[in-house]
Amino acid sequence: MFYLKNFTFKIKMKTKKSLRWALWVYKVINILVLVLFGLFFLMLVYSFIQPNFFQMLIVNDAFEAGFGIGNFRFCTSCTNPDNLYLSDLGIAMKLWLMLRGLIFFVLIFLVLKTVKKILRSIESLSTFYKGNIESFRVLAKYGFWISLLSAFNFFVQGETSVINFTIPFGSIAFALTCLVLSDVFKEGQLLLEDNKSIV
Amino acid sequence: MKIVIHLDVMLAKRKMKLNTLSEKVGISVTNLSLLKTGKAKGVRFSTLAAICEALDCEPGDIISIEKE
Repeated sequence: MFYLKNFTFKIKMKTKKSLRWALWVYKVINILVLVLFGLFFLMLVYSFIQPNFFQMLIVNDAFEAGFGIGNFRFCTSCTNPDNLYLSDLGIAMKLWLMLRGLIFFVLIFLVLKTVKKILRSIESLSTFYKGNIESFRVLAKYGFWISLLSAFNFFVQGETSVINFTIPFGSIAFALTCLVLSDVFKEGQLLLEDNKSIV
Repeated sequence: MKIVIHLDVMLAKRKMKLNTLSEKVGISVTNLSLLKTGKAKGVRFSTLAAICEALDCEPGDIISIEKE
């Protein structure tokens, strides 16, 4: 009996430790997201004021379909004519870039917030409760929104118009995993209720 | 067929209160009350054994089956 109690205590301690790690990682990612969003937003706003300031910033990837805002590359001696620079973009395309980035950052922020809620509830040892089932459903919803937004992107400027499509397997898998987890937690809640009603 | 719990009868026979039984068995009064009122979905063998030991009776004295 003592051995069993000791074993359960050890497992709880390990769970606490891994949860502390997860919360720490959450904090770091949250700060990174906020900093990156701030930089991204400031960069685009500044490009409206000083369009020629970002002459060396290549933004080809920003108009590819997929999750995220793409890679921004600084190049001081690139002569490739296919390169698209931030300074070459029109107001409409810059606004689209800003809007898409804003939506992605808000969604990531909301996902992180929901994940934090789940982690906190697990930490307080109330894992299988209705709030977590709802949280996983909300995460799945965000996942599907991210999939929808990641599926396409476009670039229209002057005579050039490009529409990019892709199947965002990553975010679809994330959404489906969250849906499955919400069902698993629902089952867990039922089992817990059953267990509680047995004296 | 319905399972009926006679914990209140046994407690009255032994002139014991639920609080005392709770202390002897090591189960909360809330859980014992659930068992007494028939609201519990089930009872563990260990709980049943502890109650029987405390009340000095057989499981059949506490649990019986009733035809509906």
